[in-house]
Amino acid sequence: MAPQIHWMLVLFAAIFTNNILLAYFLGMCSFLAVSKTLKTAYGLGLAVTFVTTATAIINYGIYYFFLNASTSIFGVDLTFIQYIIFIAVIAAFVQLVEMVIDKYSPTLYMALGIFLPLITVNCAILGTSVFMVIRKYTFIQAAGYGLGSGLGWFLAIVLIAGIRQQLRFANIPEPLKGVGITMIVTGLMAMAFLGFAGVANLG
Amino acid sequence: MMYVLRKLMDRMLQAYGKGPFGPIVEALDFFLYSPDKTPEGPPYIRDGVDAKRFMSWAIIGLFPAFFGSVYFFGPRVLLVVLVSYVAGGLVEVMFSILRKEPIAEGLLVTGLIFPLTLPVGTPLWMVASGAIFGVFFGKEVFGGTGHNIMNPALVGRAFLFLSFPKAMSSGWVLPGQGALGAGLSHDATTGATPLLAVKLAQSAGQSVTVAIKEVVGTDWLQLLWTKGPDAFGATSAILVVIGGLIVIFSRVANWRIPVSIFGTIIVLGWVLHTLAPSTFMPPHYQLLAGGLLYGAFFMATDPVSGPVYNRARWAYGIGIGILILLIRGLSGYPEGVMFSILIMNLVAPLLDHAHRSITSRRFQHG
Repeated sequence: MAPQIHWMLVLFAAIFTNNILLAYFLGMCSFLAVSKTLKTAYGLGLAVTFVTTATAIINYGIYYFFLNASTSIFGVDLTFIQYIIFIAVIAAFVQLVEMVIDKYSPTLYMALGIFLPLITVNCAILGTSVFMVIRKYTFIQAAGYGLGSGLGWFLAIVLIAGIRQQLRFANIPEPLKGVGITMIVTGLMAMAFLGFAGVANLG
Repeated sequence: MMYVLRKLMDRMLQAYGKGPFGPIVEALDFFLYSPDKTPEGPPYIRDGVDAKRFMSWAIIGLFPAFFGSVYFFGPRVLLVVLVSYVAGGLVEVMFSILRKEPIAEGLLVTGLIFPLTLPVGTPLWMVASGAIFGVFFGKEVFGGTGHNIMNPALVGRAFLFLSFPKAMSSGWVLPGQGALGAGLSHDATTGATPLLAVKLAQSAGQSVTVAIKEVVGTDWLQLLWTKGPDAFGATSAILVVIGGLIVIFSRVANWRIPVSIFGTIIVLGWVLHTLAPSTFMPPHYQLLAGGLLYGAFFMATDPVSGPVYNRARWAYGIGIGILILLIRGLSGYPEGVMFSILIMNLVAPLLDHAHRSITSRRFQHG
């Protein structure tokens, strides 16, 4: 691993070259389901970005203070429970975001529906925390990576929502309407984003 | 003679026009005689230009580059174009029959624009699979001509480029080695494209300026006529510009897009080159080498996959310019035009949306 990469590069790479959705195909379920209109895509994208960044930072602290044998205050290797801990932190955080959205934008809350609590199991968010551990990021890199993956997911869902709004008028074959054409577009998007390969590396 | 042909067409239309082969007969009729119907769907245009005339001008604009590449690389070019037309046409005809719609003219442009972006040495089966992929996934699954979100020719090329990177980067034949069979025989000289040469030098730790000196020497005018081995449509900057002016003055292409691309390359390219001369090529080399002119005139200006509002078009062109500089300078690929246009194709609906929401907000606030 390369811990000496500048955190700005990690951020850039997480958005463009190693986009969590377009390169790893994580977080597809809500991406396919909530991308029908720009408004909901924008709202969910912001929520996911916020949750990804915050949980990456919190999980970083928990992992290195409590779980990792060599740096933890207990001195015991507890990494086998990292998935449960990470998910619990994410679930708690999503709860918080849900309450905030419900308070300040009830229409968005209604529009997002079941997909808001389901951010909890959005694999992009857990994936970010796990990648951060696997790649042995420093704190500032982990924060940059969390923000980058969130923004990358945000970018992808906003792009696809714009495209799907335009495709409402397209003469798509009946069996491909809805999720089918969205997956084809996602594949084409992933192809286009390969153009960034090599601009920045995650190590 | 013409009378007999017209008679024959009429009889065919009567016999097969309503059957499963209706679209084929109708397309033949459309191609031989101008349509006496009004356009039924997009690409919509404000004035009386219908899709067919639109496509015809685009093809006329491509002619200089096309004939130039026949002159530079020999008759293999014709073969490659033919394969692209037949393969793409099969997909188009298949979908037309399934949809019971007339065959759209969009293929005439896609089938010519696509092979002109390939190296001459590309095996024919690759040309065919690229054309099929481009027409199928780039266009037909969205509902055919006028409904696609990305440029089908570029989708096909990106597919080939990512699937067969070796063939797509080593099949570059030096132009002008005898008219006959230069690309067909195996002893044709291949070489690195001007951009690839720079990239190779860069990864070997050399400075970009030194590499450019080695490629072109001091003779900048050489880049204008032939740039050495390159995609055959993009070989000669002069011919591409002539074709580009044709499409712009016939108003098939919107001038704002190429102008904003060139402006970005010149201004931002100059700034970046001054700041980091060992990473970024000077702007005139950026403009002349590789597929930038070809892409800016013929592919970025595709009215279907680009934005439709003028302000969005400026943003679109500037975005393409920035991405080209970024990808050429920093990524592992020597050329960034294809990816830049594809990425901005994806952003185009958002740019249009942004324009609409800005305009409507101004309207509301008086």
